[in-house]
Amino acid sequence: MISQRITSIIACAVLLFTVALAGCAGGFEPQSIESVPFRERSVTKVKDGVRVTSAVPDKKEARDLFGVPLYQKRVQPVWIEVENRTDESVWFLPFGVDHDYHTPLEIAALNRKSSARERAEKHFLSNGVQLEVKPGEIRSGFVFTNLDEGTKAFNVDLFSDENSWQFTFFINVPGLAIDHHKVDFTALYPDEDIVSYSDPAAFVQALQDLPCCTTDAKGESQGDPLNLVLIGDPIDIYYAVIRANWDETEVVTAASGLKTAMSFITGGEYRYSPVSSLYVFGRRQDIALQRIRSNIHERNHFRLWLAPMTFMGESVWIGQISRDIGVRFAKKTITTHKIDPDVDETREFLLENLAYSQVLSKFAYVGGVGPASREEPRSNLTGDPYYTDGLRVVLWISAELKDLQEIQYVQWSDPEG
Amino acid sequence: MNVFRHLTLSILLGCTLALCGCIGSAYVFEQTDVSEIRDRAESRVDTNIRVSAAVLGRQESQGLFGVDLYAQGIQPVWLEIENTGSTPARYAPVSTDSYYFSPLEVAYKNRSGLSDEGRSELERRLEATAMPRYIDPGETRSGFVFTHAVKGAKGFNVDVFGSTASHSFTFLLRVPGFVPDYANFDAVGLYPEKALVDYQGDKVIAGLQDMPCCSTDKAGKDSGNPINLVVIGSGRDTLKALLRSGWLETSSAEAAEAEAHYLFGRSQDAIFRYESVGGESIYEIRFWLAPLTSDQEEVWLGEARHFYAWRSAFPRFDPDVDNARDFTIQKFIYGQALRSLAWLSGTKIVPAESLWDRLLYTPYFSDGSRPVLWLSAEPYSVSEIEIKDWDKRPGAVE
Repeated sequence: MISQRITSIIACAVLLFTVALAGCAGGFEPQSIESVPFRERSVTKVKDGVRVTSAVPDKKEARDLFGVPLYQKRVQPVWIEVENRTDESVWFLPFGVDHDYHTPLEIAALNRKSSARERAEKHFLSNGVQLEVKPGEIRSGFVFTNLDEGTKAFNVDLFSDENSWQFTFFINVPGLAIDHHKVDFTALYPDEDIVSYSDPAAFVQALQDLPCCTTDAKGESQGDPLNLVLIGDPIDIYYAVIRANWDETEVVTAASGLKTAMSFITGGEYRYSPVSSLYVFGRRQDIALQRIRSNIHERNHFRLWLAPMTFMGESVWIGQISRDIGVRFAKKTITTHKIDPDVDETREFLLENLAYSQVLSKFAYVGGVGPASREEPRSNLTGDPYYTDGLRVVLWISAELKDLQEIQYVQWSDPEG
Repeated sequence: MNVFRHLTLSILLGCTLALCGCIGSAYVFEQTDVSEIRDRAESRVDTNIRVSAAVLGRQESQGLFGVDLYAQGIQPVWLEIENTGSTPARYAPVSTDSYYFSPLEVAYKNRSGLSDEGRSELERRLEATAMPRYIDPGETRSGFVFTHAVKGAKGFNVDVFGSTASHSFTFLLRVPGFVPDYANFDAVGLYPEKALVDYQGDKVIAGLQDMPCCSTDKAGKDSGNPINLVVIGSGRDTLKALLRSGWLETSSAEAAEAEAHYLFGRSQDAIFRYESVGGESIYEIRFWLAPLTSDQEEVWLGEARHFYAWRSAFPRFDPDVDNARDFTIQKFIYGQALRSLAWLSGTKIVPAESLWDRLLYTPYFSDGSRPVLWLSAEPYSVSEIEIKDWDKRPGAVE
């Protein structure tokens, strides 16, 4: 009995020792930038004598390049090369890429192997960016940003004494099964089923005739109100919501379920957790987006479905938005997010959010949701009550950036207030 | 036996939980009238829109709403908007805080301990006192916007849209109940008038290059950190520019390092701090008023530093002080607070190699530059920033 215990103690000690050794023997082994092919996905933009090329390594590539699991630490390196063909110094501002960028030595501290401290610090410092790019020079390096999975959207801002430049990049990073990448928008409706509207009165009628609310999969119970209509080119809508800081959501898979469960428990920030499915036109949402506020319990959800109609040749989307204000226990889904019952407040938030992101050109209101009073609220599928003036907001998404002053209000129906 | 005990316990627990909902406390708040808040509010007028604003301190919020909103990081801002025009106006809460809390969200966060009736009363109270979005012609509406809490001074915008014009108002208001370092700083009498040399135009370069390179400890012995930026402008304008760029007032008691740094025989006159959203980065600037003026304007010497935490309770000093300096400049640029910039030398050139050299070890490294910044109290466009061609930088360190 005693000898058995001794044996197991020895076994444990040997195991621990081996584990400890493995940690040391691994060392800090970053690979050269030439041997990691992430720059094959680089994007280049040129304007007024300045060229900017950028690429974003994925999770594995980042680890190969820097010898530490940066994505696990929610750090995402962005490679940027600036060529200055003007005759004065141009200043690159990493702040434009991420207002909370990390410094090279801060990242180097993630390397836990003290024997490699000097090498890690030198490696990160030499891979950082230089702010000044002198005339005729080409400078490149990494900005250590906070992690965005899916599409990485960022600005590269430069200025000189005479000029300033702003380049906006949208770079797709492999490794995340994003919701709407699974939807083939062209196959949703046969051409003959799509109605083209150009007369506003007929279009308003068609919008008001769309279903009031989402449903469950069987189409039997009614859920959240469909209080949004977006009009615009699909790619412009996609860029607009990314610019307004909405995150794409991940399709439910085993791994993403685990990630969500972990962030539920810790209240931590898993920004891409999959959202539950709601149904319109007999199918679940085409696009689901969320905008996190300070933790997973505080986020806004926003779902869109492509509608079988166009207005003035542009695609029309119907959608739903809700503000999560906490987690509650629900009968049907065990835990779900409690939504703000004042859904009109959340609808107006989206309007302002898009306006301040400079992607809105016009807006209007139409009926179709049907009013519900505070005293006699309706409920969504998880039993959360909500009340509304019954209007949907119609948002025209612009391809170019629009100043707040340029936004037009189209008078179809007026919200109460 | 055991099974029974468990069962009994579970039933008891279940009952207690169920009862909690019914027997929670009632909702109580002081029916404070807002006249005191209205009296101290600052007002701005633009054509036919008037806006008054005040920030509520912790005690006031607790009295007015009966719950400790500050404990949840929520700071109510009181607004009153008067529309003397002939068309409706719309207020955009996202202009005041892009992540503002909705009234019912605030209620939900503060519901625990209240009875069902108490919860409904809290909801109604918050909805009734919320700032409405629409202000009809001839109307005056007032109410609260629930923002994220800051200490010291709060800088925010109030944007109001009419059918033909938009109005943007900027406020910088003191939050009751917090005393930053600079509030105790008195520039009067600090330097005798005759000791203050005023430099005209570019002549200030020589004066600035004579300023000490680094802060020291109290005894004036150990050289501390490089004085790596200079700000020219009045204290009031500099304060506005700092707050607009997202810097927060702080006090030495709350600084990343408790020990004071010394220059001109005294500890810093003011400290400002910025903490990243994730909390892993802290930037700090300590300021001293310098014994010289530039075209009659005050000159402030600054020590910008960066600390990182990575979930540790003890932030570590980042030896890359140039990065802290450059981050600070960028923060001013994006806060639309920088008007001009010039590059000077002034601090020590310390190569990065000395970090890893046992004999030459220094706690930081730097290219030795000390930029000079002219800040703007009013928003200043990035494309208009002037870079003065002084360029007296020591050669950049590779």
